[in-house]
Amino acid sequence: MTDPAQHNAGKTCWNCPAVEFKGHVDFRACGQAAFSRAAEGQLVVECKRREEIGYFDPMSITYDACPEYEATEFGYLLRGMRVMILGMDGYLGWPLALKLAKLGCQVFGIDNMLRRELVAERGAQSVLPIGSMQERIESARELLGVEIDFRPIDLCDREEFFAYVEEVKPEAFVQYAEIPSAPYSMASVETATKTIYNNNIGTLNLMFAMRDYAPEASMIKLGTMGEYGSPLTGRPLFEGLFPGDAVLQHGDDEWSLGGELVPRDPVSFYHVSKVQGTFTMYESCKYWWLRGIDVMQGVVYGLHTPELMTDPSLNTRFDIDEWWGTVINRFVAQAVVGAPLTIFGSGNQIRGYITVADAMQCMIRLLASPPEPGQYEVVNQVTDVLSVRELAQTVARIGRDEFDLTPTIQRIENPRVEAEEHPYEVIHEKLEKDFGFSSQSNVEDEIRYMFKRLMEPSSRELIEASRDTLFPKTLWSGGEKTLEVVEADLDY
Amino acid sequence: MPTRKKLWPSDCVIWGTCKGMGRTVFFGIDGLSHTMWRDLADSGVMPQSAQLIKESQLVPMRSAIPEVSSVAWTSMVTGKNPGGHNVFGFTDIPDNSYTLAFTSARTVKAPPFWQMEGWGPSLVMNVPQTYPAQPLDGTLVAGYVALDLAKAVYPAARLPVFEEVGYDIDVEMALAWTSPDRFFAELTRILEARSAALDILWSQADWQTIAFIITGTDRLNHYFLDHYEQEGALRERFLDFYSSVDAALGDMVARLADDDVLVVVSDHGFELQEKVVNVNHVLKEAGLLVLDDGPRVTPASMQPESKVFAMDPGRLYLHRSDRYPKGQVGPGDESLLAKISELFTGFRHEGKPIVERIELGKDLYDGPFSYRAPELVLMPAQGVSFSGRLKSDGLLEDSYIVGKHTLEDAVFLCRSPNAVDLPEAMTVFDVLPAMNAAREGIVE
Repeated sequence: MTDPAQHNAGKTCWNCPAVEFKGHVDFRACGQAAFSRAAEGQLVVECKRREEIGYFDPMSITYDACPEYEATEFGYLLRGMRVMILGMDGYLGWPLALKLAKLGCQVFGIDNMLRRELVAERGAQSVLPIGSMQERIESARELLGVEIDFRPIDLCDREEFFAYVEEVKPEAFVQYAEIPSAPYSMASVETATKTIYNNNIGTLNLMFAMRDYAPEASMIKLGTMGEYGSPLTGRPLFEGLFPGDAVLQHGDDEWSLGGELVPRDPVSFYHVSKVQGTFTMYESCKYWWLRGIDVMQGVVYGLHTPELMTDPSLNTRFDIDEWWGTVINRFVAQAVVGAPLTIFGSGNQIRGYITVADAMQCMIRLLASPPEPGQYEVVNQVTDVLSVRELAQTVARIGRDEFDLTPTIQRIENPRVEAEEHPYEVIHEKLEKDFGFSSQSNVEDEIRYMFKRLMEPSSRELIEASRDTLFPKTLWSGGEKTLEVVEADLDY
Repeated sequence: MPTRKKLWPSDCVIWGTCKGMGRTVFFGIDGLSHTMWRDLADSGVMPQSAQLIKESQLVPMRSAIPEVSSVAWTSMVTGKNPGGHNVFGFTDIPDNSYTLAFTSARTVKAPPFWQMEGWGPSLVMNVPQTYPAQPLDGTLVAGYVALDLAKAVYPAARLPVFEEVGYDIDVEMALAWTSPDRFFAELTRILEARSAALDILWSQADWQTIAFIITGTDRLNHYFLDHYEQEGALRERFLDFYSSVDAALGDMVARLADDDVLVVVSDHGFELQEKVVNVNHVLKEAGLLVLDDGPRVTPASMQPESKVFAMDPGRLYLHRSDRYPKGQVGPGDESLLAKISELFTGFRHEGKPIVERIELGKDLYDGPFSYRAPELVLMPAQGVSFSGRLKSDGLLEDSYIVGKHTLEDAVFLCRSPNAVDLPEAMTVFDVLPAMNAAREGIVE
């Protein structure tokens, strides 16, 4: 196990976004140069922050020996790193902005505010009250003493986005600017198109912007565990992209991928867009020597980080409707207002989960340790693997035992096309082993905290106002309908 | 006092009346050996050179130690030895670090002649070790190692001149073994572009000093000297390029007035390379250098018990406690120096020595930066080239290079209106004093 505080001490300038590749040089031939990255000879770079070094071998300076790096609880972090968050108004974008800013990073963000619009169109709203982006930035300045630069730019607006990237020259990007809803993507041809366009053109714009204006930057793109599907063979969900004929090992077992996708098996058009994003990123790293980490994130839940807890004016959005809320968040909201907790089909679908707080810790650690130029890396970002039924039972139990509620659990017909009984083994070793990650959360504590916040009158009122949107009705086969209850009042 | 001989250009009696009034042209042909120049001039490959040699005084010159271009050119243009200008090779490890840095204009701690009083305005083109371009009274485009043309040009406003003629500082090295045809074509194209830039800039100011270095010759010699020496298939193309260089020199000479000073120099000689010996491998085998295991070996991989390490080509540095974070060797450890010298003096490969002699840094260098000098410098046996790579798979390294530098047999030619005294054995350190003498009629 890597020491969490030192996990990247031995990384070198070759991993650092402040370093610019210059070429290869053969000093036995009087410093003759080759400019291709794949050339032979001594690799030569320049540091944009320490110009006085001139050309140097990037492997010869480690993070712990560089004055531009400072030790933090997340590892060595590039001092004042310029990070651009795409989708900063979102559930994850905002807490990440606050955490990075508190760590001394220069934070820049864009958002087209589409999420607010789409949630409102559905007749729902964030059940934690949130201010405008400007109001939240002002609060962050007053309460946390940090500056955040935000522009209301659509990632799909190439001209505006490219101009901002050229101006800022970020050292890292976080791609959160995607429509993150499987049911939304299945609701109609319009919503499917919007999802595919927004997610794929946005990511493509990011790749070209990096190529042209910030080629040394690292990027972290949010993938999803849903890209992998849930293979009925019982094959574990390996961390990475592999050749179709690869034979992979886990423990004492070997797994052949023959006959499978590589391995990707998306389960909605939203997930299709994420798989496309994965390949867009992979190919860009290959063609242009960009570097990035594709984070196959489990379902995120929860609502607290140290920064978010500072004051309600720093709230991040919290959605609970069918389209935009994630499963645990929705269960807690349902329990708070006395609506049944709805599980699809058997409820034995197993998924990976992670809290917002843990997800933020992971992101900072990944930002602190970029891959090498040209390297496309995948990490599986989950901490708990649980069935939907177990989760509903846990939420109901805590609501009943600790918050004096009387939750009920219903099984309803499954509107999705998915396996309800399946093996599920997620390999999630890299974050811990290579990035020093250690979970600071657990499911039950996070659920307790969510109950506390959502039972506050202001939130309860907002949930009540969105009550009609809590019950799922979007069918994968098309259209909407009121789903039949298969089994009511499940035990917990 | 060294003995000096008097050099009298053929018609300097006439030119002597206008001493110090003309321009100074410093024309470099990188890697041109005195022997080869004479041969090519005599054989008709370089007719302009033949004529110039007749009108001038040509002597062989000794390079700097180590005999690499960065050291030699910096010594010529500053008039200092490495202890005075701080360039001991292409690579350098800044004090109290293990950063493997590459020397540049920032490393040079003595002013080149174009930054001295009375030399400007100057046009400086392609002088090695001048990247990134530093401010001067004039225009400069740096020579190798310069991987970014925009930072190689001063003032920046001149950059379009170079871009418009397709100016490249260097030829892509991999072409030498992947496509010799393209390599030769690129050498010619780059020489033509360099000459075209000179043509444009020549008329744009009343230059007092012009420094113009042709570096393609060095690249050619490194990769194709065997074709020249051993009648290889590409010998004609090799000679064609030297003819082009000769024409460029002829064009320069034709531009000069009678009262201009012309100095033609090279930075080292050349000979065929027989083998590349990894010096650090020898040190590792002897237990004097201990490195961390790992796929990437850098100076930071050195363990505290390492006593000494090599940097290109044959510079040996003690792993001193006062210079390196993990070093444990005291400065001037005479017994260790003796042990290392003995190791290399007695070393044989296939029955032959790899070193001709070993120089002590304290004997070679003086000046404010001599404390940064290597403690020992291995002078290679004939045909042997030294590599200072820390990573080694064995004693010998593979290489596409066929030609290597020699300490002796560089070139110094002077055509000036003034009488010039030169040392009996000309060295690169004497070039600037000689130029001063040619301009003023006095050798300091």
